[in-house]
Amino acid sequence: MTSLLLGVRLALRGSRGRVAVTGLALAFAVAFLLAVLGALPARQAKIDRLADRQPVSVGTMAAAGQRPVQPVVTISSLYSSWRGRSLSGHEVVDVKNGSILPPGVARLPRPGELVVSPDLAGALRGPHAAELAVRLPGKVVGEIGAAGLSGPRELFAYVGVSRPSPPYPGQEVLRFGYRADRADISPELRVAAQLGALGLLLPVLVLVATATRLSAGTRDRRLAAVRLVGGTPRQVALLAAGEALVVGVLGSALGLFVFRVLRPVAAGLVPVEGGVFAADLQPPSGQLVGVLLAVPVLSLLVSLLAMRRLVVDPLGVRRRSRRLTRAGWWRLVPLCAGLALLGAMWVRDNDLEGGDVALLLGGGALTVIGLAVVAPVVSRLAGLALVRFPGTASRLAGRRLLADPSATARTLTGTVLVVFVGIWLLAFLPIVKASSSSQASDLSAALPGSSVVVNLGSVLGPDAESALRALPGVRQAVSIRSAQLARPGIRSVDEATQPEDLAQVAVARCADLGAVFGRDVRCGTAAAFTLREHRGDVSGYTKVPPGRRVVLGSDGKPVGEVVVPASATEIDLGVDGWTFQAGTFLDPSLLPPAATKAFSSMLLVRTDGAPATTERVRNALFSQGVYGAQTLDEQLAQEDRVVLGYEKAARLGLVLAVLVGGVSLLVASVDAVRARRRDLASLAALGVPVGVLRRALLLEVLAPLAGCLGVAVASGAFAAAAYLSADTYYRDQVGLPWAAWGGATGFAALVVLAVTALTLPLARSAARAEHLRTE
Amino acid sequence: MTEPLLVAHDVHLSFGTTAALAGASVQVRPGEVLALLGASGSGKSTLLHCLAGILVPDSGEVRYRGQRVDDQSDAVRSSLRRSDFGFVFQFGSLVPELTALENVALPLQLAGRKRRDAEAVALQWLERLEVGDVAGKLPGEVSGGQGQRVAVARALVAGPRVVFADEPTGALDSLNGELVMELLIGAAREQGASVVLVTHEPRVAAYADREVVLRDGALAAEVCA
Repeated sequence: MTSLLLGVRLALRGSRGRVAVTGLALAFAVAFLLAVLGALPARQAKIDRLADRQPVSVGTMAAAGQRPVQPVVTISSLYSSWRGRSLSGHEVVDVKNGSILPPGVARLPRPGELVVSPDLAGALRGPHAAELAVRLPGKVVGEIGAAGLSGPRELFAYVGVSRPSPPYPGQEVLRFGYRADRADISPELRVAAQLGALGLLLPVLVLVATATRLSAGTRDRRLAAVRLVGGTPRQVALLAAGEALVVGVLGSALGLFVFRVLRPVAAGLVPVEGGVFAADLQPPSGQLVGVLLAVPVLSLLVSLLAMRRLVVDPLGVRRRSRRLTRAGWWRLVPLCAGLALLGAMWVRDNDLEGGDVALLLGGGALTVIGLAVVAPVVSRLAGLALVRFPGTASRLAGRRLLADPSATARTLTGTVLVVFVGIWLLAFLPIVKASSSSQASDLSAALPGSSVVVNLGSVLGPDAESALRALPGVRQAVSIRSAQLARPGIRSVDEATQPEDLAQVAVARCADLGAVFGRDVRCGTAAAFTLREHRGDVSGYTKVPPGRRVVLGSDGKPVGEVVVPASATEIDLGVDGWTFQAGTFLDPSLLPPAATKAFSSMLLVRTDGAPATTERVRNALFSQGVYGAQTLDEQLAQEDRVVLGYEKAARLGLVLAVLVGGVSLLVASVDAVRARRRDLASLAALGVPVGVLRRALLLEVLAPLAGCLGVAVASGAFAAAAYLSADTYYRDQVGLPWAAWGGATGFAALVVLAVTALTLPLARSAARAEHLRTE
Repeated sequence: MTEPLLVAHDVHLSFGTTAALAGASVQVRPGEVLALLGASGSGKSTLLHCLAGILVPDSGEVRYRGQRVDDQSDAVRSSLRRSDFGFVFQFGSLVPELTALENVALPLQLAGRKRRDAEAVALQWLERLEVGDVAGKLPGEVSGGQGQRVAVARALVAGPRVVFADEPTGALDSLNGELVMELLIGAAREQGASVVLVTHEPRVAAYADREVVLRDGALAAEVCA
């Protein structure tokens, strides 16, 4: 215990600089881990906040077998958008005058009053408030507190009305707060999340290990001196453990403080709609305590493990570790084994199932270990290559690498592993994207993102379309209706038993379509037309053969007949028929008047792209009872929110992980230059220019880096290709993301370069003659 | 005649294929100042390290107060260094992160003394060696001479029976060297401690009662002062 306490004192009193640097590095690791661990709880908190304000209707209670009681609030939900942001809320009829309240609301608004979120209140006070007046009529009488919002930047409102606006009748609400089961995550995303967590954890572990071994040379001298005056090996080990414990505890405490201070900033970076409350970015208490304890314990273990490889005697410290003087081909075994397991997925050639997931994760883990194990071999090969060059700098760097290839390899391992995991992770993003292909994403290929697209269960009247066209900034507004045509003789949709019995067609004027898509289409005189396919007909929406057909209404009964013309003109709108769920388009003039009302439709409004125009369109549609009008960009953002969230999180995680790796490298590089002051000073005293020393330091990192990154990229690409081969559905649709891989690798190399460049100025001070003094 | 305190008999030690000691034998008597002399590579420092239990010879034996030292465990030899031996080396004997006072108190603390007691004794020794004013300074903040006097204080603080000094003035100018030697020898004699001194400087060797010259790892000559 005395030795442990002495170690603690040595850390606190003796080597404050080292303790400060190590503590800061560990604090960075702790804060980073806490932020990462807080991300999923933040997502869950957002879901819970939404659930907590979820209205529970009479119907829900009855379905749950509960006895309905007197309803007290009638609510009708509003969904809209404003300037690219989701705008939602409820129309509220407070039947019993405030007897139930949603969370965060002091009192429900009366007719003509609004209770809104702080950001929406700001918008209503801002210069564009008029754009919201139609949808949010009334006076703001209160703001919703944090308990009633899913995020600090959410636009949410309770609108007081005397009765819900038509066509929605509203629902009678008994209380607020309904927690449904959590949504299940797809296997792809689960694997991606696991890989991401691994990718983030690895550099943090490397950073902790690097920081703990900081200033090993100084520590070695201290330990030898203690042995000289009679310290036993056990006392020396305890002394080193005490020091490691101090920096670990300090790092944990400081990390928690940094996390608390920077949490609002980190919460602001989380890429979700409406933002995340800083308080929600909080790891579960078990994980929090786990991290705070794990870092000192890890620091202690690293220190003790390092001590096991040292022989500390009174004359100095010797390392038991073997210098890697031969190629050590055995080091290739784990990497080859890992890649072989991944390669086995190619051979199995079936969809991801239990066995494949085991192969994937087992192979991935072995490959990660293999990359770390093989790095010294690559480093040594880089040394062998460097000594062949005639320059002094390359000779010095090469000899140094050959003398101790593990040292440089260790500093690069964190970055190299991040690149491997990152490359694998990046391969998942196209798959996730491909799985979320939608009407909006198809339309966005042919229409400006600012176009408003609305799917309606009914059809707007011709006056409404004209009114939209008349709005300032609107270029074109077109309704594309859909209709079901049945084979003659069929009197009900239930009688259609064969695929050819039924067909869906789209109904629109060819010239209108050309105008809204901004294309010069040659419509000709035909009243039927088809769209040129761009992705191939994968939809199953076949072209309707010519002849007489029965038109079915929304109730599945015939409402009239239509004659499909013998010839159809093919036009190119830049989108496929699949987008409109139709293989054939018919001119409205062909359809019987009785059929018009029965159709569902898609409304396309092309605008000048100005946000004010979009809001005008939205307000006009709102007046027609159409709430959810969104631009293509907004729809895509909403549809891709999860995908984009994962994508952004993956990229952000990669950047952070590479930066953590960079911090490790910086800490190790600065320490290495300091530890080699005497050697560098000797070389400078011999007349070696500082520039040559700098080049040598640079080459010492860059040569093995190039090799290690090459191995990591090749292994990552192989792992990704193996994964893709196991997925029979996506392998033909999704290519390997070489550009993203190049970007990730380039970024990692750039960070390493920048970090190495930062340490180069130290070479001048390290090479000063005063460092020739031993003590 | 007094029984020898420390004896090395027919000691052999090789580093790889290089023989550092080849049958070296020497005796150290209580209270005696013995100088080990010899050219570079003659094995004088290695012999000192064997006598002090730092190195274990390949063959031969080292006895302290009649007991074998060389076949004892590391822990026993460490304990001896803590209680009975003191050291002054040319370089590296002070812990750079500890103040002069803490350095001197270190052997006492490792032996289990309370920190306050240990530092009180350490301060007395620093003052006795005329470096009480640097008690709160780190080794890097004091001059070479002051640093070696701190090292002498640390070597003597636990009341050792033998002080091993390997080139104690090697990094000092002659004036400081003389001062350090006078303080070291004077304090050791006061304590009744023997001193084993490795040096190649005749002026330093002159402080010894007896000089032993080594050549090629074995005793070449012995001179009484």
